[in-house]
Amino acid sequence: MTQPLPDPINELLAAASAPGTNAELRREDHTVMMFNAAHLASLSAPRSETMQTTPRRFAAKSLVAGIAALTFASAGITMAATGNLPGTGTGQGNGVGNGNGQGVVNANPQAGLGEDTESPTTDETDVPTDEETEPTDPTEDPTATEEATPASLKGHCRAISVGNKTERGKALEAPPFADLIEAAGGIENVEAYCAELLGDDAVKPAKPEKTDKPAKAPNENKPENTGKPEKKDKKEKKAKKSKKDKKAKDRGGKPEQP
Amino acid sequence: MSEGELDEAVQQMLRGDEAAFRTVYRAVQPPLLRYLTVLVGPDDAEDVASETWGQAFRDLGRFHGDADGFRGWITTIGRHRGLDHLRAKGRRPTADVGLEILAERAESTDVLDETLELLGTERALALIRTLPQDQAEAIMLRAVMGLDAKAAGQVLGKRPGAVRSAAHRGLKTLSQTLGQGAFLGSVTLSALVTLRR
Repeated sequence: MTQPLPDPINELLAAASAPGTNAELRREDHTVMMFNAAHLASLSAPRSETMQTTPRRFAAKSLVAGIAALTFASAGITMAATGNLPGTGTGQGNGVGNGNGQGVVNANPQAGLGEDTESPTTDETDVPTDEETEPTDPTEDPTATEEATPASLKGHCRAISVGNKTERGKALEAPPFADLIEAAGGIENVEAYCAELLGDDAVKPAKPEKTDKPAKAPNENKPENTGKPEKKDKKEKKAKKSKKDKKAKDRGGKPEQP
Repeated sequence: MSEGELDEAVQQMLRGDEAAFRTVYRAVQPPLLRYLTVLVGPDDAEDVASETWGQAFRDLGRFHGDADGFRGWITTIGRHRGLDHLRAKGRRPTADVGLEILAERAESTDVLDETLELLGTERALALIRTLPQDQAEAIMLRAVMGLDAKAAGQVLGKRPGAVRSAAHRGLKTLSQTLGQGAFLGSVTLSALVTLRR
């Protein structure tokens, strides 16, 4: 603009840096969803120890645990069994967005990053967009809430039943078991509560009421079965991924296909 | 949107503010997409940009800085994603596109007026893309992403002086391509400076 002479280079650069167009911003909404999901994940991940036992938080956690069971059940159980949930004890606790996506986010970022780097596209869409947005609207999938609660508690029961008494006592101090203790009505009742819960499970190993998420069934009803968890998880993941990719494509749309 | 407002938006974005993120996205996505267009080509740039944002979100907790810092940071992510993408596809970064632009230009008799009026953003990018990769990247990072030589050097793993010289060589080539070699000199050299900083 301040150039006295017409300079083709200036004009070329001006064209290259012209204001953004709508076409360049057409993935904005999709990207915003990714942003929100990632933000929820980052909030919850280091915050396990702030997981108090308010009913709301408990419900959110249970819901998320159910969703997590889809893909990360065995990992979650393992973590619970060792009492070493990543991030326990590092929370910042400024109160923003607590109670969202606990279970998922503990497992998700790691699973996503640890995946094959060969397919960055799917890796990207693996950002827990869908999983994270679901919990914000529990009415969308009410069955998950109802089924996930006993499942996650059962998982915890199984986890602590694995260790000996000393380990058990230690494990119960871990934050993930706070809701188990609450559900049992006190730490001294946990054993009886678990016995009942697991016994109940043994009587009817398969839940009759089925949802539209058949993939959840094996994980939910026998989370102790870690025989071949990785294979199963991978398969489910793949299926989920391709679904997500399709979704992402639909949202994004390519220039050639309006 | 002033740089100060964008700085503020970046800070709010880091706290998870969706509206602030939209502001940042609208400011950063177009230049990022254009840089990636030059790096990986127009067909794949949008996907690579999405991957870039996805990775940025995962790593956002590790970012600290202002709008300038964020631009440099996400450009670095974008560059790695773009180069990964090219490696996976077994392609070299810049390709022989843009020749048709030169052909069109050759038909024009009144070079100055016609060529440049026709030069939309896409064609400008295609033209820049005909340059060797280091020159094309240096020009895009400085003139389009708005990074200074130091920040561009950090993205590219080069010294600021090397970035300046690559940008200069690229501009010289483009200037000759556009048939305006006579304008080389202070005018062209000032082009980068006047555009952003």
